Amino acid sequence: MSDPDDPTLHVLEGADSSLLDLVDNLLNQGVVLTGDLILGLAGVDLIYARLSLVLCAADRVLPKEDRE
Amino acid sequence: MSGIYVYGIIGAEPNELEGEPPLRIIGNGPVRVVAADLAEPPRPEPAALTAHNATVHRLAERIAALLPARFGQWLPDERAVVDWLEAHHRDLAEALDQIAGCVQMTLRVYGASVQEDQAPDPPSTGGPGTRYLAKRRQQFERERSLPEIAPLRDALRPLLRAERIERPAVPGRLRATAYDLIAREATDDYSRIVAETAPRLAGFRITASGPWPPYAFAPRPLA
Repeated sequence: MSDPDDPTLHVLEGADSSLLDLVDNLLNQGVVLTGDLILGLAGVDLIYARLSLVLCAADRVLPKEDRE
Repeated sequence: MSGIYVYGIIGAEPNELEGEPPLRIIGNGPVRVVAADLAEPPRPEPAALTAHNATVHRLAERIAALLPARFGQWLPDERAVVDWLEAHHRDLAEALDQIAGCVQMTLRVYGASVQEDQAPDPPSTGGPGTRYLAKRRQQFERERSLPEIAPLRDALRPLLRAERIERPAVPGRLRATAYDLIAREATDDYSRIVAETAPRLAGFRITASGPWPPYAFAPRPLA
């Protein structure tokens, strides 16, 4: 990924080019049928805990150069 | 144990889907579900996330109107899926009409400091109630527009079929995100306009990504 301090535009290519967008799309948006079925049922703490796990784990999935 | 994992919502076409995982179409008529059999809900792990992402992208490339499902949409049986479809048929049909033939571009606006972004108060005319309402209106309008990068938004506007502006609950470097719905064939024009205009917006860094399946244009809340 390009230098985050570069003031010019970065048009990202490809479906998996942005971890931020991946998490934003898959966990925060899209059609919802079953609310919080996956991300925990027992309250806010559990939802946050599982989200943290996802974020940490997903960071290891992407190629090293894609991490900011 | 049975179970249905949902990848998205489609219209009347297509009638068959190939590839892995084996996909099935549930429902009849103009609003149907694309799903796979899955015995239990997927765990939120990297492999499951990337697999979901890959499947939705593959579907979106082949289907003109696909409302992508968020990760983890699992229902215990087909009856539950059909009931859900019936309950939300109207919202889903309207959303499918809107996103047909379109993709989502995601534009993020970063700025140096929050203080620089504070708009001046509206003119202090009228009584305290009038001033309060004027301030509230200013805040409301600002949350749903991007006045700080107006030249770019104006340049993109002819391409926009729809837009959603979100500002982070806690202000920081990220000022706002714009989710733009555009025709599939307009992607190159969108990127060109951003590339030409964004560097002229002093004080802001703009990133654009896409094309994405139109995640941000799924009707909500449906749950």
